Amino acid sequence: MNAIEVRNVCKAYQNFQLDHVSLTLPEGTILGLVGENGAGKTTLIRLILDLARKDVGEIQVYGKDDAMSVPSFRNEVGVVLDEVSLPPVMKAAEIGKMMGMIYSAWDQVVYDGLLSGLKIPQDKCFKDFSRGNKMKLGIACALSHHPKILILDEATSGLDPVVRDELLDILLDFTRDESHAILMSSHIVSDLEKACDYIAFLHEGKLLLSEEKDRLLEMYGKLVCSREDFEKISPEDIIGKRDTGYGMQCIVKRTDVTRGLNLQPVGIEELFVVMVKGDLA
Amino acid sequence: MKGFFYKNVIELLRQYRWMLAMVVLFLVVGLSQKNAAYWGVYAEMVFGSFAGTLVRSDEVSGWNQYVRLLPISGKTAVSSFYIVPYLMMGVTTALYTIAALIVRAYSHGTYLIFPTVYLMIVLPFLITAITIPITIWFGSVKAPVVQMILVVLMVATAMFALTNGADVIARLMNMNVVVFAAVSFAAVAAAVAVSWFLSVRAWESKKI
Repeated sequence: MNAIEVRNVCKAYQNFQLDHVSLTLPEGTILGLVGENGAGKTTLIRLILDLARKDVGEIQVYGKDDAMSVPSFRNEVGVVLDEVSLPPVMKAAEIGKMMGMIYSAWDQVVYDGLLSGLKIPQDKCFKDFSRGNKMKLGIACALSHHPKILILDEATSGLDPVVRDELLDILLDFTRDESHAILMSSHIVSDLEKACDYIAFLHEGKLLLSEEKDRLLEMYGKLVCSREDFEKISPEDIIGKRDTGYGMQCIVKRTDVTRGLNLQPVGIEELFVVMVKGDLA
Repeated sequence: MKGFFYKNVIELLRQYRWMLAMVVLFLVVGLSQKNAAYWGVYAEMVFGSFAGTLVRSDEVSGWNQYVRLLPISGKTAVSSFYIVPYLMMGVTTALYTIAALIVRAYSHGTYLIFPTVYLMIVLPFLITAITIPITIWFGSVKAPVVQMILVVLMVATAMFALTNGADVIARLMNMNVVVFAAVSFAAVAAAVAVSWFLSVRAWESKKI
């Protein structure tokens, strides 16, 4: 079963439109959503979470239509949005106590362990937390009620590299259970490259592609070649190019022609920038 | 519901302690001064205003959005705005009544308990019932403007009724006090129920 299925979803605002987006998050996997500012990542996540009404299309979570509109189903979903909005005057322990009265499967032991492991301040009110600590507390709340699916919108931004690394390990551990899944959006593409099984590129409300990360990295390569060799490549296989003056730098699809040239591995970030801008920087 | 009750109590004790202090002050003034019984009504109004404060504070902090991700219904979320304020108003009324009876017994004064308690129930309960759905529906910026417009309309209506409905007022004055009070309290209870219903509808319609 797929954890999330989005089919032909559209959502129009005054100056922006999410346009016929379809993607799938299989169980036991992590899908990374990449896109520039204003691409529609948060809009898509809000539609999945039923925080906004879609104009057209279907969204299923574990096979159920509009699952998030059912309050009891939200026990299965852990969410961290880009702004963590917990009660400002409560302390971490009090927030845990409150959540324990709300979630049916709240695990205080897990929560206390995360507070300690992520070094979340115990003596300050939430409004006095730094952005990073607010994120960490949001993550602790999302993980402590044994959800089946995690949805993270820019959850690693504001975190130092050490904590980000620890968090990614926690997320990888989470998906060891084959029935779990994670949807995460981030500007820190290196985090997505490290953790994700699937990558989806959003640009100006449109889904450019949604593919297995390993397959994506196999499909494309980076090439530095002479103009003569560049002329041999079919234009359809060229994703982006730059004339250095001495030769050509380009990102291309791996084909019989390009495999004969000296193709280097390409990163997700490079690939995305080229797909959006059309040329190498 | 318990979680929200816990959260609202912590907010009251930590962020709005000044409200508790004001209530105590108003009650002391109301009980200690001969013709200041109406200060008890002011005390109730302070707790009544806490409901609107809760709604606005949740909106400003973003908690009202986060709540939509929790496994609770709109009815539970909205009920949390009613429980602590109305509970505090009920407790204040009960404590005031007991204190006023003691003061009257010891001072042998003509302390007006029943009219004060009547106003302590009718006015703040009614105003709170009006405030909550307006604040949920219009948000923290527009709600005060809407409330002001409503107050003006209500005062204008009351003035019109006073000047043009003299026979109705005379009949009300002649009505049995207990019946009058019972009808008023029933009307307030109905208003609170309608308010809750409208608040739930407003909350559920707030998706973008």
